[in-house]
Amino acid sequence: MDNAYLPKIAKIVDVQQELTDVRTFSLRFASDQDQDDFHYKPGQFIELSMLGLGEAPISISSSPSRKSSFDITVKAIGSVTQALHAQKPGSLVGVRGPYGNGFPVDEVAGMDILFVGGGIGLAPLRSLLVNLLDNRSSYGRITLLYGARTPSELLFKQDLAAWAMTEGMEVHTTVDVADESWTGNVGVVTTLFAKISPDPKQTIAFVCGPPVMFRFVIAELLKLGFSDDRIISTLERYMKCGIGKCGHCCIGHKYVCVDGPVFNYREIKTLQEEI
Amino acid sequence: MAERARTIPKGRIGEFIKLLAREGTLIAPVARSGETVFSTVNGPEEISFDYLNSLLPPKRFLLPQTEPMLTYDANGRCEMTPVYDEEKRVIFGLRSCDVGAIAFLDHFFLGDIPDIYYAKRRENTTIISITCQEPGENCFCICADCGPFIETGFDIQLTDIGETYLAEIGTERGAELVGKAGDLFAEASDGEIERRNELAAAAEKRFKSTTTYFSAAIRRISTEIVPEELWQELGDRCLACGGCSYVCPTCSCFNVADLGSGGTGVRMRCWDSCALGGFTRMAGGHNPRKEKQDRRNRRFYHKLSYYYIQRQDKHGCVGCGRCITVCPGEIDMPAVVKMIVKGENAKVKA
Repeated sequence: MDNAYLPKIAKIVDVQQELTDVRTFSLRFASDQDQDDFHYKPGQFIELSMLGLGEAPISISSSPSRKSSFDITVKAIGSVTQALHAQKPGSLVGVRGPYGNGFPVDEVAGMDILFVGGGIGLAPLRSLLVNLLDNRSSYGRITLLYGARTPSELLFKQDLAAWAMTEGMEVHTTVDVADESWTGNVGVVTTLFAKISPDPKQTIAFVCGPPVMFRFVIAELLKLGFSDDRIISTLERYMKCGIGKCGHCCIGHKYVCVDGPVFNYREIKTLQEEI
Repeated sequence: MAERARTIPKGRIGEFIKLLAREGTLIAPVARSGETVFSTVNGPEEISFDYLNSLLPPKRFLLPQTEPMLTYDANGRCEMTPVYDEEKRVIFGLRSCDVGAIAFLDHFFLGDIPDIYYAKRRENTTIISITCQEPGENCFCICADCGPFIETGFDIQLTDIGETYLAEIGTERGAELVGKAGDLFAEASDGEIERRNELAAAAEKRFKSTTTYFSAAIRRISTEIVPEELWQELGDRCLACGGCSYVCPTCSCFNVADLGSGGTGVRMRCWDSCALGGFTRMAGGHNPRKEKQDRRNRRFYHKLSYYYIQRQDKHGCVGCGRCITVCPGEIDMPAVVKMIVKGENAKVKA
């Protein structure tokens, strides 16, 4: 029997500053065998250990087609993530995973994809988006609606620019509050829906952002005629163990770490608890 | 069952207990300061046979209040070493409710991705239960379909049938122990088995409650027809003390923390409770169950909804009654079930 609570050692191979308090860490397992054995789906997460402080559940933000390392994009917000931010390339951390059900990548082949992201919510969506671009011909039109509070809080700015130039991809961004240099849309992310006309019979929507954003985005998608199971989101809870035992991440009768974190709206409606 | 049951004269149970004490650490009911607790004993003379049930369930021998999971050394190559508890234990004198609860925890901890810490303790634990013939004031195992006599979950189930104990053998381990005891055990006669069945039926009749409340409560909670005002009242009466979780034999939630300094230390886990305020709080401050009524809703939903029952194979209450003993707000399981079904004890009618 494996010990599912025992982390494997991984080395930080690269650190990228994304925003003032957000960094992307590229990790590679210390053992080559562990790295070769690490297969994940977009939408899955790891439990990152800072020994002495504890573990934090963090979504993987890279595409699984990259084999040499994987990325986590992390906001410094609690004791574990703040300690992580103090690390440099070469530091060792503990990793357990991958956990969670991941996005249904295979099931959306041939369809148009609509991504709607808010703030740091773009991080898990990125893993899926880049994975789709790795197999571009298998999917239809790809559209990204992305919003942040201010221009300085837009994540992955270089990626956003590159995606906007990609054939068959449409990118719309917005901020709640502009600064002097911002010339783009101002307003919450739902204001971007006016710029697109997706075919609800042909499109799957992937949504990730703060809880308040979900409600309004789901309302827009339902207005456009999306059915409940074509609206997919990834939810956030205090996932302590990652394997469905500690009880902290339950929403209704589901364990977010095992049954999720990816759920479609039909499932979310049956949960009998506020998300 | 006739081919497997045995009997042992009551006067010789002490010899069997001495044999059990050689099989591992023996844990049995002990009288202490007016309460009964499950504690390690050295011999039969320390065991209390005159008790209803213990204040704390024996689950702490399978899921301790605190336990080390691994030691770590973050200096240098970053080493982590798991810490396992593989001590052999024999728990003697459990009641049917607690046996059912252990079977429930087995299903939870050993299913899907198994919990190795629980698994190692469980495979080294032998369960010898004694059936109840006189329900306590707070007992409702019969409503929860978990007693006073049960069919599985024990290695050996003993019933006092007068001059002897009738021993039902539940597992190969139970058969192994009876085999080691040699001439202490004799095959039970048809009459003795009949006597055991009569006592089982008589014990059931001594309960004053009926079974219909539970299924009605399960239906109402699962279909969300319990009014919000009822949860609000439960929230008002709840002190968020966590007592219900600590004494509940099927509760299993835990928290994990690293304790150490200078880069070395131990990763521990400890009991946690969904009643407590910070249970769902995340870094950044968002807490989906900030209100006590939401946390109370969660407890009863987890114990009683049929979505969880499908997952767990049975509902989450064994009827031991310990929550009645400890709850300062009088919102224990039977009280809440009655509030939900009949509107009793509530200011709000269900």
